[in-house]
Amino acid sequence: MGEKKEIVFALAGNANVGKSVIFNQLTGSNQIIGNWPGKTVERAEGLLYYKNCTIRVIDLPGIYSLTTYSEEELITREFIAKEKPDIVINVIDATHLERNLFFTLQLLELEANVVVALNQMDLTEKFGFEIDAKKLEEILGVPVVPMIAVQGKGIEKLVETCIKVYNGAIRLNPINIKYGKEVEERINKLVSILPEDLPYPKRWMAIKLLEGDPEVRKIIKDRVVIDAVSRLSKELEDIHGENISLIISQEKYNIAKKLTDEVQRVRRGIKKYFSDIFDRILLHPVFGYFFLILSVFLLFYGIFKFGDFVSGYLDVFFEWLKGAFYSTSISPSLKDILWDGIGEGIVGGISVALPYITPFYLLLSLLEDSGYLARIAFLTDSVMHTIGLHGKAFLPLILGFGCNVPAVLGTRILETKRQKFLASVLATLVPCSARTIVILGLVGIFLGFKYVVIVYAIDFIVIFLVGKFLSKIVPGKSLGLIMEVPPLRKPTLSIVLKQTWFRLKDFIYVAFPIIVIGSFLLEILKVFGFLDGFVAFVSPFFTKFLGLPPLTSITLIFGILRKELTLFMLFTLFGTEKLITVMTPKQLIIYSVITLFYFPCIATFAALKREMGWKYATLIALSEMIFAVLLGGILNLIL
Amino acid sequence: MKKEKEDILKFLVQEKNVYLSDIEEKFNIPNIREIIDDLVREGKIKIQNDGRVILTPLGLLEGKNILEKHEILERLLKDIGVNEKEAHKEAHELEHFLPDEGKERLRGVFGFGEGNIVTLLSLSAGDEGEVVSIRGGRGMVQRLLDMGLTPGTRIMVIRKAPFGPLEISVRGYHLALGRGIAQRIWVRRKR
Repeated sequence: MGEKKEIVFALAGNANVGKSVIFNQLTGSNQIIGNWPGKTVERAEGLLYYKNCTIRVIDLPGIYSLTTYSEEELITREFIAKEKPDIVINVIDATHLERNLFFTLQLLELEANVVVALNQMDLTEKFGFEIDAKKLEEILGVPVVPMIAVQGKGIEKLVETCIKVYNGAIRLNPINIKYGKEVEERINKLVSILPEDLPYPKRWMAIKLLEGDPEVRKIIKDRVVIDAVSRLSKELEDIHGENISLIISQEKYNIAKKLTDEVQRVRRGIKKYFSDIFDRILLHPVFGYFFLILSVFLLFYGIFKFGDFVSGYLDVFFEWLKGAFYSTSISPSLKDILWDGIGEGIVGGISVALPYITPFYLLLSLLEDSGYLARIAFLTDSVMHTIGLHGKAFLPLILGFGCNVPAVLGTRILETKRQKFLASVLATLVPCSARTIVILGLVGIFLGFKYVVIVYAIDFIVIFLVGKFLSKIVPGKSLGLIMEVPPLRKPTLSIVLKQTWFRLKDFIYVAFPIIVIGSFLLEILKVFGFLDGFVAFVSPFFTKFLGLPPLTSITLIFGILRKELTLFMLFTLFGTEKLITVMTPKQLIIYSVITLFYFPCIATFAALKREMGWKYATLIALSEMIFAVLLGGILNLIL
Repeated sequence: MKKEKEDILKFLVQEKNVYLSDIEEKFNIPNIREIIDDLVREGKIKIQNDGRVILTPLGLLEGKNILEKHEILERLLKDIGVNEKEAHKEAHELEHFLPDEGKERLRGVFGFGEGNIVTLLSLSAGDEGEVVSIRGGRGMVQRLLDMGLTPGTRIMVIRKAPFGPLEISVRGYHLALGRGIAQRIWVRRKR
């Protein structure tokens, strides 16, 4: 083992088992957000240096099964079967052993090199039972490492064990997962006629073929095999009178239950844990909603107050900086280009955007990690049904308040195409932090908080009506809510901070350069007089129909890059931050409403394209543009 | 004749303070007086001096019986996918042809008592049951199986939101299910 090698560890397991905690502990600060080969799904990847090995650690999405009914499941399965990571670390939650082992059995069936990380061992005692990890290891035939990941306990042992398995110092002897006699006979028959050179293990493929897995069926071209599959499945269905995937799942769960009963010993009656007591209030039919509204209100109120406060101080600082800059001995015309072009952009980004986005993502991560977001999904399920969605769709939508991009990508947690489409469209209408900045910077500062509420109300009404409308006309199926409700827990600070940082990083790395380049470009165009022609061209439409100063048309074009640019560009173009001196209150409102809807920003558009293709992305963008112009025209008439 | 008689008895079970005129109005048929007289002769109803019609114990029993048949049939029809209005109409016809024995057998399967098979949605908070079957599309059934709701699994309803989803405890964890989904899961009620 002299030379340096790259080894791949993949972390797999159910949601809410502490996978990301272990991932963070393994990779520390060496994390990168990487794209997966073939699929463009962003996943956390990191490097772990151990002795003289470099280990690439990949955090797979939290899923409950390896069937193909969700994209995340399919991707995970393909990754494990085709990329063949050296070790699959299956993180399981000791407090929910049975359901977690169901997934472990599936990994073993896929013939992955599994090492089990038996996490949250500290909680089993609270729940009133014990788990015999040694015995579990013996039965499963793969290493089981007991862990308390949040305290860092077991991490060393886990890495050591994985390396030993990799080196061959520990041999895996995984449990044989056997089904009933009739099923086994047919699995074996199928295995004997399957061709060589398959992308998956033969036995696994035979099982999936019998279950009627559409993805696996696609691979088989041989007529003889196809006929055999339909004949054997038919026979099985006749014997059991049930769907085969039901029989397989049932038997797998039976094994998981038997295993659990073997290794888990109840010491005393399960005592009520604190989560249940809190849930009585948080999910109460009356107080639950009261608390929900209160916490959402406090969330946004807190963010606005905090943002306002910090933003104020930053303003003073940047005023001072501007003064200092202008007192230097650079030539005055160059000063203007530099400050208006680059300075204003950066100042805008730092003093306006960050103070609002940072606390938002921080608080959101806090809600997510504590488990309250799942409660919100439970409480809002019935409301979401009126717009063709279910409670889980609330999560991507609330993410949209920070940025629409993760919101659109987050619709992946929904089950059907129709639901993904509906949620994606609605997500592009949620007032993201960029739009919030525009609303606060225009309406809030110059007209007062009351008008901010009105603009927000317009937005929410539009979201509701669009949802109602689309749920009536978009064809396809909707599946109801099926969601684990994780126990409430004290959030882990490091996870919350990391999560916040991941989301912020995207804003800083992606948005900042666009803001700076955009405002610089605009300043150049302005200085050389290129903008006048364009403005003259659209001027009649803007003044007559929308009642806006023609100059604003330019800002809307740049707003396609990032919506907050519309505000900063106004400052640059009018050469003042006191916009009330150049625009009427009515114009400010019309302008901000148009900014809300007229186009999903370029990054959101890219996200839509990625999830649904060019056709739908363009359709959504165009409809929103027409809608925004019409709404602007109507407001111009009635205000 | 039999149908009308049974309908009148059922009507009397459902409504209070029924007068002769109410019955005549409700059952707008020519020989209504004849039918009423028959019912009186059979000792199933009595007509008081002020024209009020009341059920005798025998009539009450028969009326309740027919009402129960109606409820069971209506529910059975709804469960097999007949819409609400149609189910009510069809049950209204079929109730007169269902023998008592058939009613008991159906009640054994679709009733409310212990051991009966009902949808998960009809359980209340605190109730326990055992999964019998799931009806629905492939994707939905597979997802529920993956979450551990295989036939034979014990579940307990933790809470029901007023118009919203249910929270159940299954295989040692908590799962939220929308109403539409809970309606497609059949469970055997346990104590």
